[in-house]
Amino acid sequence: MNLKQRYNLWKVKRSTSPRGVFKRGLQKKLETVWNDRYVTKSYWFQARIFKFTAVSMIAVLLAGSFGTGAYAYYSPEVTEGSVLYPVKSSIEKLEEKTKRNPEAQAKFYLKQIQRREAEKKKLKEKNKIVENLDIQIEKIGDKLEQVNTKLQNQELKDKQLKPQIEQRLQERKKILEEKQTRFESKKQEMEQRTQERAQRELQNRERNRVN
Amino acid sequence: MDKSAKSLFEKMYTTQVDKIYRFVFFRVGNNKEAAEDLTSEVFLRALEYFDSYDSTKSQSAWLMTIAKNCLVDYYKKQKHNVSLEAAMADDEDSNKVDRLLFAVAKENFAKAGFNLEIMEKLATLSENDREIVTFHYLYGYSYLEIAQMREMSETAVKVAAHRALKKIVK
Repeated sequence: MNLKQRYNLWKVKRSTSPRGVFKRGLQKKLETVWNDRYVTKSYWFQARIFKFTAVSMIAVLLAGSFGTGAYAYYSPEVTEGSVLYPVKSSIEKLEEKTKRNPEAQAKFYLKQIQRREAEKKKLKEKNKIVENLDIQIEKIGDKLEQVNTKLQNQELKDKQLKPQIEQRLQERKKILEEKQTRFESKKQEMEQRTQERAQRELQNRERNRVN
Repeated sequence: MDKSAKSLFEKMYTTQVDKIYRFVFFRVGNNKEAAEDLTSEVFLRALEYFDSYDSTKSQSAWLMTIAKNCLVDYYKKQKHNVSLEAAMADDEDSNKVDRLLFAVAKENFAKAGFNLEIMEKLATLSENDREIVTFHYLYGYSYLEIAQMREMSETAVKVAAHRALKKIVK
């Protein structure tokens, strides 16, 4: 092949090259098709930094909520009117539902009464009203009494439970008796006052008639 | 598919697009639009089957196979070359298809007003020699690429090309 023929072939080769626009266009098209076919779309929530942040935040939140819940549940400082008190009562309600047998229920009510009493003490220290707590303790005492009737003929696993219940019920009885006595004396006082008032009124009427 | 596969495909595209285009161009009646469509088709098919491509093998040979298949499909659609269709229907003799593809290329070369003298001289060569010369001088393949496509050593291709050129000069 002589130089002229080589030159002719080179000319043909050059004139038969694809257009630059076509090559760039095809390259873009191929890139799009490649991405559609082989690249899995990554969303913002799949980014490593987001995953790390989310996991950390969830861990902090969980730790926080568990910590807060535990504090609310165990601390006597959390009393009625405080922000965490609903958390405390919710946990207690939930716990009550988990106690299926009478023995566990009795243990739970004893613990609940102790907690209410501790709260009552704290509220008294702060010179706050404790009437609501007294009502609650009474209600829990009712429940304890009901459970105790179920436990009468049962052999308990915890041997110390029965004396504890007895002691608590005795205290309750004592409180109720005191209440009853207070009520009776108040009643007597009221009746006496009424009688006195009636006598005074009678005396006034007679005095008015004489005059 | 990882990033290295993508960069391999991109590299293959940039090095092969001109050659594939020229190979196709002479076989579609020097029709630029048809050549562009077919070149696009070749690379789209290559992309589709890229996960099955063995990177240790020749890219040129793999793309050339796809290009030939695309051309065969193109001719089937066009239905203008009875002998080619007959060859395809006849058997899977790839050499026969290659010969017919060259015949079409030669015809189109003349139609386009290119210097036919060189094409006539090429036609006097054996099929193997002609392919080596056209692939190297016309389409732009290197001797190494041709050697990989034909499963020969690079030296053997160079020797064959040298002998073929001597024959043309005679």
